[in-house]
Amino acid sequence: MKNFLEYLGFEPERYHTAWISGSEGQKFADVVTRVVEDVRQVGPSRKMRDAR
Amino acid sequence: MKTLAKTKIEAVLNQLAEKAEVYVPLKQGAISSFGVWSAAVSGENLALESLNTLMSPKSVVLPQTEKMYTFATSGQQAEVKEVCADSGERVIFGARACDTKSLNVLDEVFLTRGYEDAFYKARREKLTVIGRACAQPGPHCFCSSMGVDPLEPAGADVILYDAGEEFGWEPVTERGQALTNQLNEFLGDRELPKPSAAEFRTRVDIEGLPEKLNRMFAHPVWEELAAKCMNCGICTYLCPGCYCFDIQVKTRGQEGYRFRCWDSCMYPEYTQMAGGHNPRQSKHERFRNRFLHKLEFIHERYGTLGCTGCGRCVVMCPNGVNIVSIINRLREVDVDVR
Amino acid sequence: MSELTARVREIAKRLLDNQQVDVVFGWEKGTEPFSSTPVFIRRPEEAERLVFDEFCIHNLSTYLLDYRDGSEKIGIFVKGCDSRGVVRLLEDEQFTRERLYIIGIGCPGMKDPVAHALAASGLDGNQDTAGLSAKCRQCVHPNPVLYDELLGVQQEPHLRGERFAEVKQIEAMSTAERYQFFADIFSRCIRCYACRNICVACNCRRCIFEETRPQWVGRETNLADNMMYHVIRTMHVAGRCVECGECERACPVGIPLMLLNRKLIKDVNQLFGPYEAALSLEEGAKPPLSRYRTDDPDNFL
Repeated sequence: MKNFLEYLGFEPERYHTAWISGSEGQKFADVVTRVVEDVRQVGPSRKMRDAR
Repeated sequence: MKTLAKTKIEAVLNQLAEKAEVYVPLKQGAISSFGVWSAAVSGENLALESLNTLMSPKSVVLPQTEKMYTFATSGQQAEVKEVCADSGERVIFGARACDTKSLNVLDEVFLTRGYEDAFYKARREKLTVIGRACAQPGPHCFCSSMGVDPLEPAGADVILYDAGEEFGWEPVTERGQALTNQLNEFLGDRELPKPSAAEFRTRVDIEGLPEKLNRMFAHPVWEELAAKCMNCGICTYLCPGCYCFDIQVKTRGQEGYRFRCWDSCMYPEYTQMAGGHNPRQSKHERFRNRFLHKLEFIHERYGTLGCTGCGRCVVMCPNGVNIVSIINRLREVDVDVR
Repeated sequence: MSELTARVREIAKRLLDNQQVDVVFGWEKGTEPFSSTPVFIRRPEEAERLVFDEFCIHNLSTYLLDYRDGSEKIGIFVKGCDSRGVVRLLEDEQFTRERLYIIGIGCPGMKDPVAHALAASGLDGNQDTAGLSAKCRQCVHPNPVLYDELLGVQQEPHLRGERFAEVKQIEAMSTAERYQFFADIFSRCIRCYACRNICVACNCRRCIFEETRPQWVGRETNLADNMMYHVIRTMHVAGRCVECGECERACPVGIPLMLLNRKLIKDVNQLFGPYEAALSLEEGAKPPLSRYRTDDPDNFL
């Protein structure tokens, strides 16, 4: 999926998948922090939204 | 007779485009359609020498997606913010009789029998149609069989007659006359021969067919005819006379809009009811509806046929479903077979 | 009449005569020299309608879905890609082998009836009529992979050049270029769903695009909804596409759907392969994305 979105011209940083168990609170926090950092770096996505 | 030299077509289109959106047949890579003439479009893309465009000009009056109104909600209250009635002037340039006749069918549907569709009406009232006599029909054309005169595009305001280097230009309505007056500086004035009758390779006899179909709803031939159809929407979306639409809504947060979009009787969800029942479960029932609608129901209600013989569905069906062959088969079968 | 047409008629007649099957899927001539169309023959005397010529491009296996809920026995003529379509349905448990009598034909490559009709019609559109159809020019498996009886001669792959060349070209573009490339393509989609309906791998009974409660993909023809449609459609056939190219052939507005499918074929092949979908019928075989292995690649995590 990530490969495919990249192929279609979306920034791969916007797509994350992670396995997180209900007991892995710290991992959840870390993943979300990383996602937010990654997305901040590429900036707001206008592609799909403005295409409406 | 007024004349329009072919070398002046672009100048005329530019002039028209100052006051209106002008839709012309355009080649656009893998497709062709009636697109807007603008500075971004080059004369090379103009497809006036081709027989017709893949996509019909119906989208000028019935866009595939059309916003109807926007709204905002707050708590239990909803407020309509803006009704998106589009009322700009439009011109269709170079439509052939099959397509102009289809506009008349759409007019019947959207403007008569006690209900006027405001969105359609707003577009239609501001539309001028420059039709074009068609003297050399293609191998898949059969408009003359469907009661269309290819040399006199019904519903056009001006009719163009191709005479080689120039077009004969004949206004046929008041609106057409007004447009002619506006364009006088570009038009010449001399007698040109009008093309005589066009020869059709494809012909089909529909005499008595609507009446016969009235007794054929449960006929087994529909399953046979529908067998190769795969229920995609190509024929309905390319058809200049198919007008079915759905109304849906899109919301984001407290705001949203209602829109309508083309729908196709070939799709299962077209007849899907809120309670879950679908009266047209099988593909032959959906298929049957399309042909009965075109050839019987529209005829019963409006006295005209829903098919104008443009041939687009015949050319483009990936599985070779052919309305002409279907009509021939429908004529041939015995009504009383069960 | 060609020798193959004669053999096709003879076999159909035999199967119907001795009631080995109830219906035979084949091709007949339409109204033009270039129109061959699918036909479904039920009576032995109708077998004379059958033909096999260079325009029998349609993948008949998809029509098996119309018979999915019945018990009728079916005789079906298949080219290489069509036979993979049959394997697709068997592997997906949409059909049982016992109901089928499969007659394979080594496929010399087909011409595209719609492109020829377009060229003759005078309508402006994709009129690629030079030689083999676009889909057949990409063919690597022209010979049937599953059959009870085989006709014709064994054929060599029709593909000249490199299989994923076009995919690689796009991969080499920048992100912005790729987006623009696909935005241009998807914005002309008219959402006729021909690519879905003609696809043998699209065999879900209820399609996500028909769901209304909730509605997953908007019905507006704008770039966003069109793109959603194509992303979902392509992902749903990932690892299951049999490369018959029917989606691309059916598309009335010339969307290069195989450019999407082939990207995923390439990726599945690299990540989970070597793998090619539906090349043989094996008991219990599942496509890579339908099974779980502890050593599945997980570099996206």
